[in-house]
Amino acid sequence: MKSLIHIVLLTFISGCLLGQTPTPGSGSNQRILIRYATAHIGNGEVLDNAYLEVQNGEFSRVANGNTSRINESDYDMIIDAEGKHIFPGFVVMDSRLGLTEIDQVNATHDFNETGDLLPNVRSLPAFNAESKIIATVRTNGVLMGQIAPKGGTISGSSSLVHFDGWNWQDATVRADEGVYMNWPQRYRQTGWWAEPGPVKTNKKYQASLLAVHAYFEEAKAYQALTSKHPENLRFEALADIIAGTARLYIRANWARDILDAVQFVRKYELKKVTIVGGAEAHLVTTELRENNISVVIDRVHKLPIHPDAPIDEPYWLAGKLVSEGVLVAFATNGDMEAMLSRNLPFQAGTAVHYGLPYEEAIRCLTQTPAKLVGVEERYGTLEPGKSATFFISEGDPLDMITNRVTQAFIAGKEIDLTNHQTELYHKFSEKHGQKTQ
Amino acid sequence: MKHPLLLLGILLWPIISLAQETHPVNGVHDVRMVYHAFTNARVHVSPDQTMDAATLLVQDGRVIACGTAIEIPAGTVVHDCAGQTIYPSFIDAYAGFNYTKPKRDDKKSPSVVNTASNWNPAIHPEFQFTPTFPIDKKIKEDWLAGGIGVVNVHERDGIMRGTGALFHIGIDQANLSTILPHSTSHFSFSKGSSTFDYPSSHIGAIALFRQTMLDAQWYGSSSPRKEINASLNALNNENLAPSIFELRDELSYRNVADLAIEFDKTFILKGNGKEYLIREHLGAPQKIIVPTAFPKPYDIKDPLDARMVSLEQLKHWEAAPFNPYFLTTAGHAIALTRDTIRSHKAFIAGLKKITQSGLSHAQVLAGLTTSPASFLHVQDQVGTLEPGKLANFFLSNGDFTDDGFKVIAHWSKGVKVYDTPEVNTGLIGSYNLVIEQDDYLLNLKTIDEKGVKATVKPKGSEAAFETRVEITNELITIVIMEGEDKPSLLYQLTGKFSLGGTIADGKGTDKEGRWVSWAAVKDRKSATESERSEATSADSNSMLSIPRLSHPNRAFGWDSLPTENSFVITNAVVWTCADTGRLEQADIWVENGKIKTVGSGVLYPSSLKRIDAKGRHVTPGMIDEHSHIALRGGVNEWAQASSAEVRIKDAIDPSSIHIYRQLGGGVTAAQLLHGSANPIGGQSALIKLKWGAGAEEMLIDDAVGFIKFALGENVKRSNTPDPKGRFPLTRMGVEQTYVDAFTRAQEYASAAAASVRTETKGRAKASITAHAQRRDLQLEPLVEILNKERFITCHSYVQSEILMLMQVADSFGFKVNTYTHILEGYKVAPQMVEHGVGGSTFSDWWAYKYEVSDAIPYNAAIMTKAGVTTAINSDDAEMGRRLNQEAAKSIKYGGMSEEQALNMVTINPARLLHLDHRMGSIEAGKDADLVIWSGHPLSVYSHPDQTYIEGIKYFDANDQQRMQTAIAVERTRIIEKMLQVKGQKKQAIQAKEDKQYHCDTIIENYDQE
Repeated sequence: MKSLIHIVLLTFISGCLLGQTPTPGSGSNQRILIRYATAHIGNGEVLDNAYLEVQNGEFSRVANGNTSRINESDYDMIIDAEGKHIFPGFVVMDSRLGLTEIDQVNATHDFNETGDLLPNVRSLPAFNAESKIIATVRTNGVLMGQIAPKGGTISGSSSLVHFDGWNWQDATVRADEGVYMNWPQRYRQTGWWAEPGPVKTNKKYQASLLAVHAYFEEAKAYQALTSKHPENLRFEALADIIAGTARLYIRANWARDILDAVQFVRKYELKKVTIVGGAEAHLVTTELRENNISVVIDRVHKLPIHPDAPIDEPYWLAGKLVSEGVLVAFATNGDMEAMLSRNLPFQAGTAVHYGLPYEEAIRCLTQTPAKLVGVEERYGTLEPGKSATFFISEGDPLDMITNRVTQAFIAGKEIDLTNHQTELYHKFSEKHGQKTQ
Repeated sequence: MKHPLLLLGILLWPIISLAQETHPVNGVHDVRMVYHAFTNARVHVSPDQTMDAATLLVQDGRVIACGTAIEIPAGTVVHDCAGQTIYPSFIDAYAGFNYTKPKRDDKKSPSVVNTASNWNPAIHPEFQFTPTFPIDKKIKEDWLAGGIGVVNVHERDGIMRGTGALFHIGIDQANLSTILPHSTSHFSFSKGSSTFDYPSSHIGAIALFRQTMLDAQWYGSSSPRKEINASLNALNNENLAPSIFELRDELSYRNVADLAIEFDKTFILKGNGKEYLIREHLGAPQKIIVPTAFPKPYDIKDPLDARMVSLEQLKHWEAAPFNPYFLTTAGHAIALTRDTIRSHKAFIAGLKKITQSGLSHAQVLAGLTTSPASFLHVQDQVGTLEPGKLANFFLSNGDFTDDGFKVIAHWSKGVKVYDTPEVNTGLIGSYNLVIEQDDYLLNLKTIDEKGVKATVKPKGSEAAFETRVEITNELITIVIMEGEDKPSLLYQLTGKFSLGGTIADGKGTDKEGRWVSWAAVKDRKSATESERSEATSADSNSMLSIPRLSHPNRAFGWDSLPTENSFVITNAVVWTCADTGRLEQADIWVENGKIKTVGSGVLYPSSLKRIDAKGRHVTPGMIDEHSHIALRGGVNEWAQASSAEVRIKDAIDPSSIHIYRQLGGGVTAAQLLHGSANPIGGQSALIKLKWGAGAEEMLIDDAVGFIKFALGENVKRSNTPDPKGRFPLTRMGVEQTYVDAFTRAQEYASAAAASVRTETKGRAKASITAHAQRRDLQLEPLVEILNKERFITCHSYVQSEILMLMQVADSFGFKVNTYTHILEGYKVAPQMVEHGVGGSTFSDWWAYKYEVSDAIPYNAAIMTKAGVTTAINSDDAEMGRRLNQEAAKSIKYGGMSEEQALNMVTINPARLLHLDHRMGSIEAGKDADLVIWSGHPLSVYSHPDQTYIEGIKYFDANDQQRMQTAIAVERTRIIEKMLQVKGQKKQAIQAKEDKQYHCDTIIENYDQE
């Protein structure tokens, strides 16, 4: 049976034309057994010598201990993962994967809509499931992403996708689970990233703030109208946010901006809120915790926000927030963020070295993001009843010297870990007569 | 009297028009050879000589005598100056009252109007600034009120700006006002109103300056001439007028010093107010003109907002007034300038601040008089009140260090050019006023140049009438009205003071127009009260304590630079990056900054400082082959296809925080590269990250010359919205750019074979001998490449262009040294090996532009396997902090061994930079550039504990907590000081950011950063 799978796989690989993205996985309803693995559940727990059973695309059994009584013929695939680690698929938050292909080619950009108040704009239909970049990201264990629009003051709605599928509909895990907004900035960076001018006091900050409040005031009033004609698509898109059933993601970095955002959250009694960025979130953990606000750290591998700040401030931020009871997930926002998403595990690794407990780091990559986007019942941990979206690594996936993902599964289907880059690697190694890994 | 000064001007007009020898006289001659004596005054004859109760005697525009026993000749107008102080007029060597920011579209700017001159409009040394007389009255009077009588002014526009003029600001006739028509020559690195793209960077401005000087030398010696060039003529015909070089950025001092040596010139520096930071790097004592404007305190209240303002900004606010003091104590001569300060009050406040900040009254006065006079070579005419000098002086109510200091009158060349209405504050007080038979109380509350504030009320009543009072020359006018909205007239009174202001009387009209008499007698009690209140005015003359400066003067700076460079590291896992590989438990003995021995069981003196590294790893300091940190004024001189003439070493910013942060990441050396906007970029700077040292100390002294080349999208300006048609715009044109450049270089080399040029270390000194051939700074580096004296680091991506440049190089008989980025190196690795070129690449970057579509993270591994010397570089201030992790990715991608991976950030970049004889590995005899890691140096779970350069510890992770505490304490101390400032306008919070250049960074206005 196993050899048959291999043949199927080989057919896949040879069928891949160079430069194309791998064919999506097939063979649902497979019964898979992974045994002898170290299972990092995603909820902070670890099971040594674990066995995991997959059936109908989800875990049916996860336990540790003796598997001698298991009947091998019950399974379509058995993976002996001795010495290997198994993790829930990592989730990258606030991502533009699939919304961009080449940073400097505008024609490939679909993340920044024109306009300012765009709650009705949706990232999902623009998501390119066949992005070449995505194939290089899942190779490192990042199997899901929250695809988010980036423009305006209110950017639009984000959706959770997994990184396998023929099109965005295939890839959708949860559509329009939240709305993103860029909080007005009290301090404005002048110049641009390479040639930063001074960060100046934004004289329009108070006015922008009032405008945001006024907009939500009207959006709230709209929801109570008895007759919604003519229909306001923008206000409609905020209905779940105002009702507290969908999540509002607020991009903000300066501590005082975050505090203003918290005041806003309290005023409109928003139930589900996440700060994205949060460079100075460690200064306002009390306010965040009291209001049940989580943080998506935009990037760990970045420079401190102030010249006087500790040089490792971005590195220990996650550990500090988690130790003070704030839920944390990770993004790779900023310059070249799409392709750098594949380094998400290493960013978490850095956070581990600077104080975030290892299994907590795994949780920040799995269970917490699943919780934020509202799919924790189905994703984020290796538990019975959860989607079999996971990967196996020979070594610690958070460290670049040991991250070696040998197999990955999305919804119970094994995915092809080759990509454009591995193909070029093989093609030219062969040309030069070099052995490959 | 609303316009006393206007009236005064009219009165003075005939006096000033005296003595115009060559001018025809309309009417009867009016030569006035009378004397003027200013008696009973406190006279500051010179900075070092002050006389009380002295007499100053002047005649015919000059000082005749000054002293306490001066005999007053017959025919003297005597001015009793009791209670007044006389100063020699201040001289401003860099007056900027005419300054407006140069505009690129200004049709009248020197860069547009110059003719028959240099190709580049920022170069117009032939331009002669001539003031337009009379100077705007408001400006003139404000400057005279600031004590400044003599100004040196030029047109602040361009790199070579032409000459300035020295004149009396208070005298309206050009021929009488001017002291020197072409007093000074002016230079800067700012291109001002020039509309040309070149230069587009600070380094380009320096290159343009150098090339112009060389052109002038060549032009002077060439014959017959093919062109008449007014600019080059002007440079050759330069009189002995002093040259003043304006520094927008204090760090440009190095560039000016280099130019001074290269072209055997002396420059007076015009500072920006931060020269105290470089006072110890200036070498020999300099003449520096320093501004008197200081930063306002920041409007800091909220502690979260306070984080926006860095310690560097806070420290500068505190230290700025000490700039003159620090420079003086470091042995430099300083002149003070009002520069572009708009109000004389701010200027006087600045002077006062300086005297509270370490300098004495005499030192400040010297900076305002004798020092600028000697800078401008006019010390025999102005600057003191010694006999024979021009009678330029002003009278004031005290020393400028006193509160309420005010210039009362200003005389230029023996003529009064500024006067203030006499303000008799002695009249302030309350008076019993009787009009006809009615008793009133008149209260003169304040009297100053703005007018009089007064009230009149009926005796015994609280309600005051609406009252308007004017007092001139002890004559008083009082208008009294009654009622709120439309007050009705009660009295209009006029009269005079007498008996020293104790009594006033006169007449007036009442509401029916009938004449009335009135008299007022001062209440003695109120007079003494007002005197007392004057005496109790706060003593704000206390000296400020001298701020401590660190190196650099910002967070993480050293109090004093570390020097210890001998020690032994024991029991470490040592990654030698040499043939010895990885030593599991070894010692490293470092002596005087060099590695003495490495191995297990090293015998070292027991007195040696021992660092136990048990369980920790030691690697060579990492070397970043491709970095743009610690630079200023732009990284790309992009305006031409070749910018071989620019030198990155001219743009080093040794105070950049990125240096410290990279030390914290284990990087000890870097090649600072020009950007990639043109096929032939600029010359590299190879530095060690010696945090706290100056730029000169950071430059690696025995490094060979490198130059940046570039290929691909950046060069052909593919991602630039407006490429302006600069050739080349395709890869086709890129090849031809190289072929053309090296063809020209070959021709130049053969023609210039006779030319002799000597290079001394660090600073190039050109022989000033005449050349038959024009020296071309753009071709010379290319000749060096052809002669294998300079080496190419070439930014490259796709295989076509990689092959192309190797072919061009082969055809001209040289080799490309390094392909940097080289993301398709894996496709042509065998050809690279054959050519002998190395590769310095990103670990896993791709997809950021079209030409990196085929970039793969296996690149480094494939190139290494093929035999290419391969390095991993950053090109990024952030990634430069984690080069070890980037190298480690090649273990994952391509299965490289750990040793090989580490070599890519140590010995391999050292080889590529021809520095492997002294760095890159841990071997006896090499520089002790070392990193002690907390764990496995390639693991994400590891960080540098300590980083050493030449045996000196520049970074210690264990210091970080202590440093953060110290930073917090120091910040709080200065913020408290700011909060204590009262009555001064504050500036809105803004944070200064350190620059983060990348290859493709194109900046606007490099000179207005």
